[in-house]
Amino acid sequence: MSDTSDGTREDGAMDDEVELTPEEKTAFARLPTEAVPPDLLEERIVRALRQDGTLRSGAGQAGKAGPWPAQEAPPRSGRLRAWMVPVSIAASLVLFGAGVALGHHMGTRTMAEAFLAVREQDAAGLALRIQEAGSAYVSALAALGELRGAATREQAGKGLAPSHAAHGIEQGRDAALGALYGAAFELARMAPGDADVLRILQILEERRTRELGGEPARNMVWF
Amino acid sequence: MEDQTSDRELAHRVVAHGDEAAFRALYRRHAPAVYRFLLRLVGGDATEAEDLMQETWLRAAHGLAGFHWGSAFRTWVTGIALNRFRELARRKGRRITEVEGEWEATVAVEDAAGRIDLERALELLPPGFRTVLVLHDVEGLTHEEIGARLGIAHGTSKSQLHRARRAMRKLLAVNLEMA
Repeated sequence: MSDTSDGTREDGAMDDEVELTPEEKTAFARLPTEAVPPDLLEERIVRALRQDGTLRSGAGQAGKAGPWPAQEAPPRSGRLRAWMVPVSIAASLVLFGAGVALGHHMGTRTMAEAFLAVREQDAAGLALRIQEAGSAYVSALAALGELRGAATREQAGKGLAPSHAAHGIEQGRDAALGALYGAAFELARMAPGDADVLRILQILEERRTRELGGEPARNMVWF
Repeated sequence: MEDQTSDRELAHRVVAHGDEAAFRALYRRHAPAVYRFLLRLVGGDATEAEDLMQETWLRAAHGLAGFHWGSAFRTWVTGIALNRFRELARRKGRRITEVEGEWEATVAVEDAAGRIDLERALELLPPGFRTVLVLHDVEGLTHEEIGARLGIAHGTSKSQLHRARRAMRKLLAVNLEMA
């Protein structure tokens, strides 16, 4: 950034009307320059960089070389040699077969095993997943809201009846409410003494009851 | 001590060895300033600021090898953050580079003591006004620098700043009248 942050600009004189007053300059100068980001954000970024190979989890100590320092990586040939072709095909077939077998194995795992796997994850990993899912949920809702605004403007402009797009948007809204209810239910189960969460759950339950035509909403079992 | 290691040395360790500790040290040193910058640009929306932070630091990590240290590391990473913000604005159809017309302040801005809250006023400004005000009056960029970074003429930046300051004063005036 520029070093000329003392109010003296290089771009010449501006209208007096819009020059900052000394009080305003002081107010701007007093604005905080930093804000601590959430800890989970750092983990999210580091995890993404580990996954794409930019960071190596083994290279934790400063100055310690990783297993394959970039400068010492063996040179790669751009062309396949003749003997490599059949070997590559054979390797591909083996990998494909292994993939099919693994897929079959995964597919036959019981739900209990799947739950066990989830439970075995550490709390930090789960918190990270919740943050990522929450972020994706909010982003998708924002996009849906923008789509809704655009569709409404278009219909109003052309005098059209609600379209298929509007129907899809309503479905998205219902799905969002369902997810919100599920999340509130799980939160209430996790912390039954949290009055705020219970209030949110109660509001959502009342809404669901209304929308289901008066049927009690607690019939659903949430996993 | 890690804190005494220069940005350049830490960056070298990240590029050469994929050193996670070095990356974390760089991140912890500069993330608070970058996060505050992004929070201001997006008007205080923490979710958007966090997503932009992630995009910014991933880009920075991937681009470290190509960074020639012609500027400070923080300047460079803040520039990446600004580009990510511009991209977000483009995706969401927010106009940040066009001169907006006169804007009427209708919202009271006050803290618990009824005083002017400049930070809140910045959040309430339209994106186009807020962007130029943050870049010029908070970050200290010149109009030429703003023009270059936002892809607009420096005269446009100047006009935008004039209107932004007027809008900010209207917003703060509403507060003063109501306090």
